[in-house]
Amino acid sequence: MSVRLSVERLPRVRSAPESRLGKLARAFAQVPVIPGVVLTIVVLTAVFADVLALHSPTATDLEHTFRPPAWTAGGSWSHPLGTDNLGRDIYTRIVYGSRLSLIVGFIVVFIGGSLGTTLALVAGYVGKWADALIMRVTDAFFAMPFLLVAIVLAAILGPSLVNLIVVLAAVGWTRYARVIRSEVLRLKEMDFVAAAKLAGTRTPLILWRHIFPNVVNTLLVLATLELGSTIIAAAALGFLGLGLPPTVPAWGSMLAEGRPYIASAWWIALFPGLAIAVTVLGTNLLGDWLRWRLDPRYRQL
Amino acid sequence: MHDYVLRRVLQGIATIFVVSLVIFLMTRISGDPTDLMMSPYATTQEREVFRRTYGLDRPLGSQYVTFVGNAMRGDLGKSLRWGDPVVRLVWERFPNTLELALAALGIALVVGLPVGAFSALRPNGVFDNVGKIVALAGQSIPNFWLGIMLILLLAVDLRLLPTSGRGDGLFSPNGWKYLIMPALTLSSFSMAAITRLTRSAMLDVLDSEYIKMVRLKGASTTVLIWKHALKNALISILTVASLQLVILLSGSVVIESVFGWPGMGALAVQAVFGRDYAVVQFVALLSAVMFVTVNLLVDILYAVLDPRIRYERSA
Repeated sequence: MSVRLSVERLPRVRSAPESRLGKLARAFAQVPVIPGVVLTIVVLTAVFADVLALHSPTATDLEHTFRPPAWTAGGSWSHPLGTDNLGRDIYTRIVYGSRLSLIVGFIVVFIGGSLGTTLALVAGYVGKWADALIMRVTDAFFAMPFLLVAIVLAAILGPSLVNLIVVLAAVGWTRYARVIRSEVLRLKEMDFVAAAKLAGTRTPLILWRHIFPNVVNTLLVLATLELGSTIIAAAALGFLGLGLPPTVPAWGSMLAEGRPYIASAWWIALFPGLAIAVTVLGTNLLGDWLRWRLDPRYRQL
Repeated sequence: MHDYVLRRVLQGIATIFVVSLVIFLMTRISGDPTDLMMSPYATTQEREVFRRTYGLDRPLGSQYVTFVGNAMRGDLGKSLRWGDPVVRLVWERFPNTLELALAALGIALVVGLPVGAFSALRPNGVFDNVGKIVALAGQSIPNFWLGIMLILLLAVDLRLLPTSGRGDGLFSPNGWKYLIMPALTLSSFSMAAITRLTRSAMLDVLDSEYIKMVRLKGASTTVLIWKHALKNALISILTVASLQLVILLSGSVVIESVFGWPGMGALAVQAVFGRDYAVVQFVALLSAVMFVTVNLLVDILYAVLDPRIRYERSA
């Protein structure tokens, strides 16, 4: 085993303590190239979808159905990635789809993360019956096939953006609850918590000021990894025709629309799937890197 | 030890009860399940009869008690579409799902074990990089899309494999061909998990004193890896493999639909669209029971093998 010491990893001597914002900026500057570039492109695409789009994402054009991608025989640059069975521009729909995927992903991760973390703080810190109750509910949700439950809920609630977010958040909070609870169990035995207790700090304040800041790193890593799996789960629901209304240009439903024509028009199903895979690859790489960066326990692996 | 096992069993039972409550409430979140299960064209009178036959006119609490009571006697209701008891309906499909899950697990192990073991041996070597790519791809590519792309490549373009169904079964002359694509697709995530796990388990073992001892004795690398190291890493790998099998059993919902595989996942998805919620409830319950049971067995096995665990957890 060789031990490599790199100069930039050694602590630097600083004249003034760095601000929180400065730390954040420095952390961002260190994000590896691949996830950094991929996620920047996806976010910019989502934000500037209206500018980047070539056509309307929903307008059908029955004279130009099944046009192949531009670089293949019969394709043209007015439809760079071809058109689908209703003549809609696939490139435009993927561009708008990124907006939907990110909106759903971020909101679900935010709601699921908040819910899971709150439950974990209460379960881990208060303990006793609260812990038993919360953990049995968490275990129950963890034991049920997550996608099947989402499918049933989505079918019962009906297609809409709000319902899709509700369904995915309702099944997506369990991992935060499990992982963060075990962190809380470890933290509450620490001296600084005992000191806060002795000083007469009330429980909610101990949780918020002393425990929560110490689980933020874990939460951040989990949330990044969950962002990817949420996008995949949303696409799976869309693929089955659930979650969002059928006219909306979502990556999952585009895949489903392309499936019957896979033998003749492969591009309809190929490109939206590629968009999902590349986006999720970006979030997973970022999550892995964050874990390495924030959690020294993983560095030896 | 006994206390630990007893507590874990009680926790498992409590979990299953919560599962049953969630599954029961699932069909009640939009209010009266009559609207969910009956055709929108049913008359008021038909709806009344339906409510009375299924006890939907009674208070929610008493409905739940009936639901659990029936479930304990193995009665999870009848399928609206087929008219058969759902338990029988699902059990008929279960062997197909098991076949698919076992095949997927087999593929995941055949790829994941050697790739993981070799990458632990030479970090940053060829295998390590292949392993990292396999792990990353398995976790990032949506498997239903991978399935469609395999159909495009292997069935449509190369005409090597049939696109969907199970043929005349695994043991008929061409039956195995039907299994390849769905199993390969389903295995992608497990393959990633097993590769990563084998790598870290092997790294742990290779770092231990007894392996250094074997090295000192001058054993060849082959003997070192396959006889000494992998055997010890195998315990944690097998644990994860058994948990993966349960995840594969319930995780094949979408894959079965993609490949028209006649398993319980495809049955459940069909049932959702046919408003046949009794079938879905049973599939969800069965999956949860399997998950809790296997988890419990693994935990108990660990406690038996490693005394540190039972003291730590009962403290």
